Amino acid sequence: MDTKRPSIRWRALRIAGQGLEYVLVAALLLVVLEVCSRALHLGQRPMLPSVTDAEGSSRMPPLLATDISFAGGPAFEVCTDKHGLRRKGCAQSEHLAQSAILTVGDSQAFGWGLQYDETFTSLVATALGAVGAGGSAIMAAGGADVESLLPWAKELADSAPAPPRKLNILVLNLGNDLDEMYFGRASAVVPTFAGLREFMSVHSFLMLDFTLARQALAGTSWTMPPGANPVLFSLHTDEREQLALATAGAVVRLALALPPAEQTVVLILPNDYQVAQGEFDKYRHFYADAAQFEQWRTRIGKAAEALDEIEATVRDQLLARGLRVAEPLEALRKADASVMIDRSSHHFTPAGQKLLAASILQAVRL
Amino acid sequence: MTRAVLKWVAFSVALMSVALAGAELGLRAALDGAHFSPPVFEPRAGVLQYGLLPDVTIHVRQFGRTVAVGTTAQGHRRTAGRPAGSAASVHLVGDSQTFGWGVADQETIASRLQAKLGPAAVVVNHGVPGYGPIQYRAILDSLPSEDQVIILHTEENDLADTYGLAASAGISCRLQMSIGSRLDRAGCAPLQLRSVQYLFGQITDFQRRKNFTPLEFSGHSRVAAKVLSHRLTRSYAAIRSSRQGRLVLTTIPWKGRYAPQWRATYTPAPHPSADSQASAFPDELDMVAQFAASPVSPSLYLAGDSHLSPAGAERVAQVLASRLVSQYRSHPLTAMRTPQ
Repeated sequence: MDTKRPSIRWRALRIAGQGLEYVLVAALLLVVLEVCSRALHLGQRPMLPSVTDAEGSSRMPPLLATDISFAGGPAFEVCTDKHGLRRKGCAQSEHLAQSAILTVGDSQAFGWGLQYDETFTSLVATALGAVGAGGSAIMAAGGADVESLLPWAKELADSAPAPPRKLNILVLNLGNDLDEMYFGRASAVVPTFAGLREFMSVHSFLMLDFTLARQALAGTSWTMPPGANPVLFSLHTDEREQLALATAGAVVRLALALPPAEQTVVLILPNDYQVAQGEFDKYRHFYADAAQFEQWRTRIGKAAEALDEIEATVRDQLLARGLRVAEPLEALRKADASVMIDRSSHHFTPAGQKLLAASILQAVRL
Repeated sequence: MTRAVLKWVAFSVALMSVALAGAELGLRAALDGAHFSPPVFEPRAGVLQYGLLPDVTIHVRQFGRTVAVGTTAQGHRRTAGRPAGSAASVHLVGDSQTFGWGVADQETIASRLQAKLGPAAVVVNHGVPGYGPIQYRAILDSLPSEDQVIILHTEENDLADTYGLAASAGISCRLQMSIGSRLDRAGCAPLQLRSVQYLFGQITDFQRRKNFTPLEFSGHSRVAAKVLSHRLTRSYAAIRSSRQGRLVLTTIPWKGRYAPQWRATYTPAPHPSADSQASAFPDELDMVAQFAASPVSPSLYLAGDSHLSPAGAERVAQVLASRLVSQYRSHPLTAMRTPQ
């Protein structure tokens, strides 16, 4: 009987074979999970995928054509062109013409949770007769701010020379732009495997589920208090003045970086509690500690006053530099905030979008 | 099968232990007792959080050289050539640049300034790695108002330190570490091993292969830079009158101003006019222009690092000495002594 021991080469091949077996099984498992995830969500992504550019700034992935449904809510379609701009339809043939109206900003500008036709951009475009091929476009992403949008704006301006658009709408979201531009630069972290994660978030439902699961496990742990603007209490009065002046400067730089338009309007969006202080109450469930929530709630009155002052300074600076400004704050205060603003965030409902559109149109026609 | 696996594991562990022990002995022999990172820190209460251990003399291997790092009985980096019993003091306040990271005791800004001032004054080096404007102000408040104080801000990171939200560094086992680092969880003994220090140094270098553009030089953070710069200016304006004119504010320029290749290692990409823009810090000695005027500006910094080289420390000391001499009509010591 041959009791010769297997050679080292044979053992190495066997180990390699077993390793390959494990890899194939894992890959098959991931494919099965991906299929299950897609079936579970009925083809509607539970999150909006976003990517980052070379500067680390958020933007939308190009050539996206998908339906999104947040937490099982009503689905909305998201289509982007080759520049990552949100467009009305997903047919690329419709994206060939330059849009007459361009809105720039963050999730508020994007029309978070809304069909394209419900966004203030679309409503303004319709009112100004900018419909059909071209029409309007939205250059926006969740988490973006006035400064972080600069590289995207420059890229768009450099991409192809074209006649000026009819209208550029820049959105300054007082709800979080101030905190993002100030605190967002306090700690810099190089994201690891960012390219792989972003690729997966764009192409895999399973990756989105994984991200949501991680967020759910994090529970009520957050770095910025939900619904509040800690920047207002971290700065002295004169530092808030500097913040307002610098913010106006950032808006002007963004306006200059964009492809030219016949008119540029800056839409200053108030935070929800700036419209109605009771709006802050809807963030209670984000705070595990009732005392912590109360600590912020008792400051909301002063926070609203501070935001009003900052808004006034920014408006005056922008007007002095020749920009048109749309300020829907007073109109929103006269309306029912619970109808205008989403019940779980500071985003505007379709009714709120109409009011914003009216504010922009008023600034345009002045 | 189990016995074979156990034998294999035991053999591997033994082999690795021998290799590590050999590497450790080899490194210690090659370094002749020097450390890769200076173990000279101790905890402090309050805003400072940590400081330098007193009466320490060690050697550190950094940037291809072995340099001596010593501290005084008061817990300051030793100033070479410091005279005994002088009445006038010149205090240099700053971070690792002022401390002299990567340079020997006699090569620091303080020591080079001492050499130029001679026995007329005592130069005290208050530089501590990881300190920022909040710590500078705390040190300034502790110094006699009649003493000359020079605060050297660092464009590389002092503006970010002005946030004051969290310390940029901490200490453990007498070593400086990044906040959140868990290197000391296994105790201090492993951290004293040169092989462990070397390994973590390499990991840190890999993690830092991309540097973060200083706030004031990034197009993405001009809002934050403007607010923080205003905060700094206001802070010093409040104290200036109480310092009897003996406070000078200047800055150590960012290396990226003078070295385009070095600028390329930063993210996000610095502003196109980063090399010529005004400093976000008070620069009463026009240090940015002084550095720009040097024909060898990039060599004023250590190769592969943003800290000043011995030549850079010498340049800063020259500028400081010029100011201290020209500020007073006669000998600096005569002017510094308050007439009774």
